[in-house]
Amino acid sequence: MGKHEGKENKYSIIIPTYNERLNIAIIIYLVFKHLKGVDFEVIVVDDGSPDGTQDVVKQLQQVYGEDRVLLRARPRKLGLGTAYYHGLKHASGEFVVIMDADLSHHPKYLPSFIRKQKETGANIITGTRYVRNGGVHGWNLMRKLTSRGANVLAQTLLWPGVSDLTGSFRLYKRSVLEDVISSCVSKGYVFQMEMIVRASRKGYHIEEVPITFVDRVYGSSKLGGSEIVEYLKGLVYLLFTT
Amino acid sequence: MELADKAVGFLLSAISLSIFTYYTLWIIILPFVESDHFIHRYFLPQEYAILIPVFAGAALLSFLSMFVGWWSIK
Repeated sequence: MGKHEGKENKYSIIIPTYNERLNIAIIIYLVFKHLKGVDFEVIVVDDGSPDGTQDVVKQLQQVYGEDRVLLRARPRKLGLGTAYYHGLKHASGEFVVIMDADLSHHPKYLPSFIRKQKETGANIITGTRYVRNGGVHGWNLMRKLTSRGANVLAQTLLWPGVSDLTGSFRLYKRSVLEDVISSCVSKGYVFQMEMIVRASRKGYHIEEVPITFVDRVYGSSKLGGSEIVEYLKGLVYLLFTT
Repeated sequence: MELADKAVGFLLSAISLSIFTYYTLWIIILPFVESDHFIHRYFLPQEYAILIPVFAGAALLSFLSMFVGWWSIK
């Protein structure tokens, strides 16, 4: 944990995108705004967005520098887990942040993630909606109840040691992420759950930071019966394999 | 809007607490009270203390199976 020649830690921020032409510039602007004085790079993993997201990223590279904004594109939609893995291969920081591009994760929490990690020396810092200062904004009652119910069920079955299992706003030590991601096989948000449960089982030190999750303003992400069934299947899978 | 949600949440908690208290009194306290005490008038016969949860549990299981079955096939 010692310093090498007084070098500060570098943070690689992986943002998977698909059709985020409208949001990507805002998110990168906010990252730069809130991480002044921090050594970091943003890695945009775009899955061949037809709306021109990659063109916007290339313009952003001219503004912020190609060493700070990296575009690591893929030919088509290949899944979130593989997007993280792909971004990880190109990451040069000792720490890796994963976050969503649709502004539901606000970059203003990044300094508190970094601070918490420095204070506690934890392997993983995860944003949580289910503690005192955390929460959600823009969800109706049914959605909130479903989310809470799902989390309670997961807590009862898996005893994960964290309060928010499906959240995907996290800071990992690079080596820890590499270790955990290689042992995960699920897709979608069950993948997020599997990551944190496996990390917990492997004994990694996990700390939490309260965040407020903001639902996307344009177009609501519907939660249908199929998603619920997928979630339950994922839970049962995790129950028997972790 | 959040105030309405908080109110609903509070209501749900109040209902749960009431049911829990009623049920606890019913199956733990009442057996130790003499059978001619007035309190017995506020509680159903003892068999229902078992029947109601069993039926509720069975109904819940049926609903869950149908839900999972329906959405797995869809």
